[in-house]
Amino acid sequence: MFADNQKISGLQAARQLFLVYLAPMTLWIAVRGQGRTGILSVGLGMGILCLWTFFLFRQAHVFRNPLKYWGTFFSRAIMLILQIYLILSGGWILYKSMGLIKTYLISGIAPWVVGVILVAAALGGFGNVQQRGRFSQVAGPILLTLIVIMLILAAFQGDSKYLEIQAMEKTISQNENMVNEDAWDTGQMRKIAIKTIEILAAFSGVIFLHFLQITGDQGESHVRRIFGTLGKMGIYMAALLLVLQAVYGEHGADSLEYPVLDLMAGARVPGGFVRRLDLVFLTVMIFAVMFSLGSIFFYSSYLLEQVKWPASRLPAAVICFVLAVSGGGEWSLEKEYLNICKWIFLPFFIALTICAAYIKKKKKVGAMLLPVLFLLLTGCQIVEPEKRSYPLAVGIEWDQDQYHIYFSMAGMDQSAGKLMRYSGRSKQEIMKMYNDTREYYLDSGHVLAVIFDEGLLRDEEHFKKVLLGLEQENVLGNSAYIFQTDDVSEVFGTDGMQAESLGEFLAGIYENRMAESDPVTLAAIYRELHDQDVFSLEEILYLEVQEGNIKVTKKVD
Amino acid sequence: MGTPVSKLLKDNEAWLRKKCEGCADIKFRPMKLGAREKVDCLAVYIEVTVSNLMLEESMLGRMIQQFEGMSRKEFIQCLENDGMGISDAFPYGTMEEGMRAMLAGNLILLVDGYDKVIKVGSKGYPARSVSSAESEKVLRGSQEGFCESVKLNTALVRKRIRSADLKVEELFIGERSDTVTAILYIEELVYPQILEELHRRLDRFRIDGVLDSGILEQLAEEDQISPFPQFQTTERPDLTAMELLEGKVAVISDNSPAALLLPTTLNDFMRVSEDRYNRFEIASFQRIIRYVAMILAMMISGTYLAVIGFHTSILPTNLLLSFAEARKGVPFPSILEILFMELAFELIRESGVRMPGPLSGTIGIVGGLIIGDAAVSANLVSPMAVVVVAVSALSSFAIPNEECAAAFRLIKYGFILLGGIFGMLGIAVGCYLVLGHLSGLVSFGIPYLMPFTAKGMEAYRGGKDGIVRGPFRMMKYRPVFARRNQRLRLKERKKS
Repeated sequence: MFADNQKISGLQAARQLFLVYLAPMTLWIAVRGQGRTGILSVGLGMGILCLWTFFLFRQAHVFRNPLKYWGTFFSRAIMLILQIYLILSGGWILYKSMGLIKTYLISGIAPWVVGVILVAAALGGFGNVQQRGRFSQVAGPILLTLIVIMLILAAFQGDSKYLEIQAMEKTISQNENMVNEDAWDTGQMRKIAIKTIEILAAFSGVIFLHFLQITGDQGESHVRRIFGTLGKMGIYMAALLLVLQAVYGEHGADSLEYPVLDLMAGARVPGGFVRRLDLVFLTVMIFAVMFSLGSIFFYSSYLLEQVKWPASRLPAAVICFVLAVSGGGEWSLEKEYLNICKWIFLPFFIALTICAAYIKKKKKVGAMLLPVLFLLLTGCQIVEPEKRSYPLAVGIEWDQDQYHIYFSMAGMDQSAGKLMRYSGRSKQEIMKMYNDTREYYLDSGHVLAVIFDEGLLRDEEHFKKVLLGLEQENVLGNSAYIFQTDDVSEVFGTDGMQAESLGEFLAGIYENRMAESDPVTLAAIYRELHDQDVFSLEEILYLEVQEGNIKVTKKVD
Repeated sequence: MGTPVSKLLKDNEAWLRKKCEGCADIKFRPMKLGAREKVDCLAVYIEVTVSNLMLEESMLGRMIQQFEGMSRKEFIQCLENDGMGISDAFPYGTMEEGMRAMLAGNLILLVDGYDKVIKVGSKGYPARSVSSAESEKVLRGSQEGFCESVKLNTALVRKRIRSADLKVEELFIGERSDTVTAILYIEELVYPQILEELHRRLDRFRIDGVLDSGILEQLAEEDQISPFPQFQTTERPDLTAMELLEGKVAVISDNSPAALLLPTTLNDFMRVSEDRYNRFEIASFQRIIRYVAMILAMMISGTYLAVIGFHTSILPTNLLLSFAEARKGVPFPSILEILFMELAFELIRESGVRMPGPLSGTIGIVGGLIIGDAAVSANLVSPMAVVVVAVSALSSFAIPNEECAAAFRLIKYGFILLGGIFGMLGIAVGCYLVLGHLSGLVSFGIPYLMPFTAKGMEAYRGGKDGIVRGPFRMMKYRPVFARRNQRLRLKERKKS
């Protein structure tokens, strides 16, 4: 028999902590670090957080009975500041999620609609502490297992040379400066310190644990659990950074807005039954985002109850929504949130901890899902599969001050086998031309091969522009294979002459004869674009047409 | 307190006749018993409940024969000293008790000069005899199922637990139906708080009639909005006995072949009685299949819509092309197509259930083959939609408990709307809300998601019977339903 005492086990509290931070740390916090410095900052940050937490445990009673120990005025003032922190955090998460979903998941949807859905779901999820505890205990392992599997699959894209570079740099550095055996200069140390503070600021919300009287466990076992969770979070972030470095290099992921999603987009599932893992990963993340938002709304109300103020989850939810919807203006919530955490809330929480240490003596001093059906009227872009065109191969060339784009469509398309060419000075111009002349929606999510004109590859300025443009096309993913040719139109002219389409034929070269050559994918080219700024073009297979057939060779200059 | 039985038979007869006015099925049979001084007696019973052939064979027949040679004084003395030597005869002091006994299908005998009503057990109301449990078929294990008689049903459980620790409490619920409801539990195992809570909930309402245990279930459940069943229902006495041995409580209502088991968890709905009888590997595999079926039944249609409407790039290109090819010529958007097929399936299921036995199979074939095939040929739906809906339907049938399967079938429509309108965002929202709701459900103090939640608590030790069932010898402890000091259920005998 379980008592309905609004208490949960230490395990449930620990899993809640992990789940609350899962989406923010995966999508936005951990990936701000880079390679080695990032990993060190995470380790250091989590270590300090553990110490801080340990120190806070010693004053837990002061936090758990704020009215008793701080007095009415101070406890309410503290709660007000904590409310601001929670609401800002909620607004930030919501703002980021709205943008993310609009960009990656549902292109036609208005961000505010996404906001309404997320807030409504987050409000509808929980009614009490125990419900949240059970939810996290069940959902936590499922989400973590899925994420770890996907991370392992994504790690196969990695190249050990990106991890070796660091070791090499260190050796060179050691040789250059025999006195200073440590290869890190003050610049790097400073960088690590700043990142550590960022980590501390981002996770400073852990302090809330001490305000909450939700766990039945107290004392050492509770401390061990929280330490264990912080440790696991640290290991998770470090693993994420390591995989990112192995795939993109030390600075390769810097320019990417969502490196983890790009990482997942390139992952291949054995058997190929799921082509794009990033969408599955994003779905898991949205689930976690809803938990984070739900937690923020719930604990906002819980803390108000602690100081005998009227409590409800709705005000926090509404303010978060308003903040998120208006978050992209002059004062950008996206840019300022982490700074506010770093320079205002982190010092405040530290000050609070110090004050709590000096207080020795006692002083005598609602869930619902909003009706979402009205959203049926809002414009989500649903295009049935038979009303889309699926280019399987795309050719790009730069000639006569214009880009020329060639498409080879999938078999069912009316234009399959026909040479389709669009020209224009920009992507927008080309897309307009396509939309003006074609009935079906262009779904570039199934592009298997991208063929670059040799001339474009040598024209670094325009090639970079093309790559940046392709990179912005989230739906394209980054697992398409890259080829080069000196006559794109001739290669596309052969489409329909073979048993399979051009895209399938080119993808088959890599996929069916794996031993032949290491594939060069869009991901590899992006990596080189961001990390090294030098392209190893000789690795890209060369296509030429001989007697109506495509011949694939390795170009030797 | 009721009306005391008078020593004057006339008064008692008048009272009874007044109460039973207009009840043509209630028979009053006056008789005179005894050899020398004839004693006036009155037998009252409901027509069909007492056999016409009983006089020779039944208890009443033997009683009449016994009284035949007695004087009036001996006769009364014999009744007062309970010297009838008949097992199923019981004297009641009030007329109301006697009336209730008569309405329960017994014969009552009133004797002039004796201030008690004697209940004499008879064959009772007509009822179906013990037959196999149609809705919970198993390949291994007992085939006996409950019938509509509460007495027979409790006997079937007692047959399996021959211990005085198995307690059977009788309640009469329903102002007019006065339905006999039995509460069964093993005293040493069950938490008294659960019993108290059950009594509290059953006493909370006044109701005119309880015609099936389903009415009790709805009255006693905590969350009346939730589509998920909060009581486990079973027609199997062996499963009932098994759950009683785990520390649960069974509620058996007269006229209902389904026993209610409480507390209950989601995991209970995924178990069947033969899980215990089969080897653990087989049982575990089957249970995993059922859990997968549960997820598919709920989500496959919605996820299909999300993928083909929004995230086509998730699918391998060839598969997507075949989806698109299959949808060519279908005039409706895929969400309507799926809804149409799902509703068609519900129609087939509903008509199959209501049809008489031999016809229900025909309905399945007509519905499945002809309607499905014709709908595809007429371009009303695509073959893929038929496949998706068929998988969803098959999955819902793989869930052993019909009430639980129905809940997932209902939620499926929510996922269809969410997935069809918001893509994977909608699916994530749906999962979040369903899991959030399940986390909040509690059955008599036990979280609905046990053993997946709270298993870290020290009190919980029976964790080898979740998605996977452990080897029988390792299942040494009862789950959390049983009292904490009674968790051990299996241990090896010490070698002598």
